[in-house]
Amino acid sequence: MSNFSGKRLILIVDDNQINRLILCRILSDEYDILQAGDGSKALKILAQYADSISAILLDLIMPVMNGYEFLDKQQANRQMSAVPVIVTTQREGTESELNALAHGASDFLSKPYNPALIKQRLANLIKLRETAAFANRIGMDELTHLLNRESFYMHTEELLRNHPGIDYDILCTDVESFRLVNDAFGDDTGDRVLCCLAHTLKSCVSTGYVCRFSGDVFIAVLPHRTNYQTLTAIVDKKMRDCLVQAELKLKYGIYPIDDRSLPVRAMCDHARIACKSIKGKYGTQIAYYNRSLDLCLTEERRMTVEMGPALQNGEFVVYYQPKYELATERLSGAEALVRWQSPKRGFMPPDKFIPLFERNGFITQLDIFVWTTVCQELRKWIDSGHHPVPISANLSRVDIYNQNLPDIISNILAQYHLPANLLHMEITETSYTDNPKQLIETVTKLKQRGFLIEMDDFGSGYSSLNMLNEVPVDTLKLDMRFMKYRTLGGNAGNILFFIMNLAKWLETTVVAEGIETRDQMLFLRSLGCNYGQGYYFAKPMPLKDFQALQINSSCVFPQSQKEADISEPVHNLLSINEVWNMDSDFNRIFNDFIGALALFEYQDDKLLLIRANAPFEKILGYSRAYVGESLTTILCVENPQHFQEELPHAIQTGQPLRENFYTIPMKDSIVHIQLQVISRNTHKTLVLASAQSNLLQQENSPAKQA
Amino acid sequence: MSELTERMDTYGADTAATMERFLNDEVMYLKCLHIFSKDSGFTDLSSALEKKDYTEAFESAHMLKGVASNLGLTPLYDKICILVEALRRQDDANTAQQYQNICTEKERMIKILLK
Repeated sequence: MSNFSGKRLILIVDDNQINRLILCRILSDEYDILQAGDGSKALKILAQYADSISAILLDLIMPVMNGYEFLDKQQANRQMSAVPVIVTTQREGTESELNALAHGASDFLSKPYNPALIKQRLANLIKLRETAAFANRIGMDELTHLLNRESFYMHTEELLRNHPGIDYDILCTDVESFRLVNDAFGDDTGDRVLCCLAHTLKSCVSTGYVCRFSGDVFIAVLPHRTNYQTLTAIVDKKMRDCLVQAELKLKYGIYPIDDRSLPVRAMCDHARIACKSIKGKYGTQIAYYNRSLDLCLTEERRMTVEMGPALQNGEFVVYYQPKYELATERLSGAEALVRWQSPKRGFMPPDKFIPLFERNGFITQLDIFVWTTVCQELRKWIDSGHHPVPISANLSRVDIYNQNLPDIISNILAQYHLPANLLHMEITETSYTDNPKQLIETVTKLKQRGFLIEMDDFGSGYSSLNMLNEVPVDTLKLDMRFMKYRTLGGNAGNILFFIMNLAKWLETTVVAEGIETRDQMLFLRSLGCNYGQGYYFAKPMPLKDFQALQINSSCVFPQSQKEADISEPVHNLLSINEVWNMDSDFNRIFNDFIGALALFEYQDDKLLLIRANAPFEKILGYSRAYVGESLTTILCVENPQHFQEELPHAIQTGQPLRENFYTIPMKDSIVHIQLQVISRNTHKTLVLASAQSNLLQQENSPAKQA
Repeated sequence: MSELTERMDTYGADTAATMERFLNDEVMYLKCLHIFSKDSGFTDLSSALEKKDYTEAFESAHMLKGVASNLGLTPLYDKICILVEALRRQDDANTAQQYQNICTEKERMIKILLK
């Protein structure tokens, strides 16, 4: 097949050399040609090239195997019969021609050959066959019944050819975060949304074509419009009606066709590039193609060529952004960040190349380079007699697909004889969005090897809470710039407080990134945020500067696990998990117990209500609004001083505390309360309260006596 | 008008249509004429007629007729047609003479076109 030039291939079957020569002379400009001198040779060739041959020109009267026998054998074979046959006859009445058609030929031509007629008939036949094959095989998208990509190309070519005087646009549309729909509402709903979108687009494009280009990307060709507001408004409305539970954001990229010599494929690429250019850009829905977008693509291609040599030539450099403990403002670590110092392009921050490397897979090599460099420098630092602070390095969402990743990182650490707690791994929430199962597996393996896992950009994705439930992270990193951006309404404080509290429950530490002012730092510290980094403390800096900083700072070094255990004695009658697991023994007893029980959290010398069982609610004349209120407020204790003095001691020692309260809501009764610490970890102390209420008439009030 | 097409006209060939068929490639046309002048089809036809194998004779004559038409050799084509039609009717009364007429016409064609 390698001798063929890529034109369509035809087979000429004729026993006479002159006839074959003439046909070849007529057709060789437009077709590649195979020849056979009789039917039997023709069958052999056809068996070999049935997939490639577009048509057969067949003489009827030949020695060895004549044209009719050939047709019978050819038609009997499913694959071979798909190739259309034109018989060449002599102008001698219709009998042989009808006979040939009856044997399965598609058309006939008579001798002497008329070149124009032969070419036209052959071209018609081939087109008919290819169109039919297309339509049958791959013309439609099964889900939406729109054209698929290939048939869209074909129809658009034809449309443009047939209407040279009309200007057309190529429109590309893409649903932002479509995965969210599938994840949140199920694949069926996702499919329904796609069908709805397909239907709506089709109704908007009355003269033109729409295709499902891929997944949730649709492309249309339609007469040029000066603005697309009406179309997008119609589509947006339909989509709101279609999926009421969530608002879908559609992005549109438009390429007004200004160069018809481009293949339709390239026109579609232009519209897609325009569409991609506004992905994730809030408030921008429509983008038009322009050459500068193409330049970006060219630039990316150049970077792809240069990245490998750049790594070899040492153009990638690791920078360190110091991290501080907020309580003491002491240096406690750093985040390793990679920069590209290209001799051609100059100094490039990661956002210029990381997204590209994530797409082309080079990120794994680059990450390994960063881990190795960091470990190498840590070793040198230790060998030169210094005490190191831990360094956090990125673990790209692409890396998590690498099964050998935990081994690779462990081997690097082993090579430099470093403990795992000196290299923290930063993952991003998007890794979870991409492939939760894989991320959980990888993180679990890394944790088993003693690595600390940090969740970078926490809160920037959509699945934060669910993810925290599943991925065992040690640290949440919050981007303050993100918080500002997302909380124009002024809820930043509330949300931060919520996240800090959440982190305490999960026993994770919180690092705030992007701290720019002292006020921000103080605010975060007051909320209980553990660590911070940002320009308020220090910019990312080269190794030398970071080392100088370490020498001149008083640093907080990581505790070994043993030290950590000793410093935090924990009194646990119950594990926290037992408290939060709805099916635990604790909860069954708590809910069904005949006496009054309530669970409090000890915070700032107060007991704040978390939950109460039914008998407890009865004692209080309970209203759910009390959740989060302090015990003394709920009971309306008149004089809580004595209790407040006793409480901290009881909490610290873990000894039970008994107290009798004369309360306002139940003026005629006394409440006897017994308190007991049941669970305590670094951040949270839980206290169980049992209560009993007695009528005043039956006894004297001890509270009053006191 | 080239020398060849003039001679084709002299012979009585369908010059214009033939040259169109050959995309005005005279070299190739002459090559085909040479091949045709020595085509085994003529001797196959002769021996089939001698053996009175009219089926084989018909097939050979039919093939020659098709090639002659493609080469635009109208006078020769006409003589071949007479034999083909006789054989199709299975009328063998004059086949020897009809074949002889074909040979004579072929010689005339060679003399004019391939000298």
